[in-house]
Amino acid sequence: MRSGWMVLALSALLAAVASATPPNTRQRIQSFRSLPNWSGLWQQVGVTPDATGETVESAEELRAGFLAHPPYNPEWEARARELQGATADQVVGHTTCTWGVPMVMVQSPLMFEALVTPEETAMIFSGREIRHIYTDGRGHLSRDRLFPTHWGDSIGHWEGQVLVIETIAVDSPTIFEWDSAGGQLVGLFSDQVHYRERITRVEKDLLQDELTIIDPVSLTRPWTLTRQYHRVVNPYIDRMIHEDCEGRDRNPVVNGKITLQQPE
Amino acid sequence: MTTKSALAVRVVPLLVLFALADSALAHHSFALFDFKSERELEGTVKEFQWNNPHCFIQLLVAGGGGTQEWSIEMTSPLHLLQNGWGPRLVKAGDALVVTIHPIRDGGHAGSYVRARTRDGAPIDPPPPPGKRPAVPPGGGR
Repeated sequence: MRSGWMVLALSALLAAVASATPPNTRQRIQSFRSLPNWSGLWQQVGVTPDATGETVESAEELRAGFLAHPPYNPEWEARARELQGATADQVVGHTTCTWGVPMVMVQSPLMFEALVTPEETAMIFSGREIRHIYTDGRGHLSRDRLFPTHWGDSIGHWEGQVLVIETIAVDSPTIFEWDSAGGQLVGLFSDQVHYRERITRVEKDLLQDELTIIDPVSLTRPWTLTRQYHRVVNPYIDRMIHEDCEGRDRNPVVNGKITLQQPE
Repeated sequence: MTTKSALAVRVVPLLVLFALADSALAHHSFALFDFKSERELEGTVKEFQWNNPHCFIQLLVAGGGGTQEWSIEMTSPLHLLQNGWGPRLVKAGDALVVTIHPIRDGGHAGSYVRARTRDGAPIDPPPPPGKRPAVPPGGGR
């Protein structure tokens, strides 16, 4: 009798697993065919490092591409300026191992792969950050189950060859900077902020993300940033290489400043 | 505190943009180095530390006060591989002349700029071929 129940329970479990796994139906195969092929390695245009870790692109080029200021309302403009002043010293002592959304798309040296399936597009970054963008029609997590993470909760849909993404519940992204010589602009948004992206391939080897930051509390209007990612076509590298901060990190933060630890 | 109220009290700081002149891309600021100055070190490699998050060349440099060990910080293995480097491009015992951006505190450390052998041959592999796309005007609208 007992073994009968076990067989029944096992059968139910197998049925549940089977129902959660999309079968390779003709419809699913057709869906695959309609999706773009974004295979390969991608890297953001404008933050391509050379062997020294510096950008290959010129400072003028980067300034022209990146400098801008969020359209704050007066209250949040003041808050942003206050934070900018407060972080002017702190950033020197900050390390970043997790970029999160939207920084991983806006300004990150991490390479990524984009794995496109009918149910989900996964963006896998060299720092082992992964964005899961569900395109199977599910909604966001319900409010009573939602909590902020570095990557938030992303759902999307396809408009032709354009992946449209809505992301909510993004935890405070890690603040980092590369040099304080030219100053930096700090963006500060409310807990109401959410992100809308339109990712498409604008050229054979060029993806583009139009990322709109929507925050009715801090911004007078939605604010859109455009970023591009070029396919890594490079004889020196043909696969994803692991990056992390779990290795031999010799740059501890001491008294709020980055230091360099000499070998013992 | 409910999830909703926890969300409501949170403020989301985000560093959106940076002035990138003299910048280095890494998991931390390179402001500890003086990017406006360069110094040449001639020495012998003690160890090439090929590891995340950043690689280091440990260089033994003979000076007036005896031999000193210098730590020369590079970027991550991924970005070095991308530029033709590998974990065995430099090895213990190699005699090198290394140019660095020195650390600001005056210690025996710096950020890697370039290196050559004592007979003048550069050790940096040639940059990968191919045209890089221009940075799009995407500052915000």
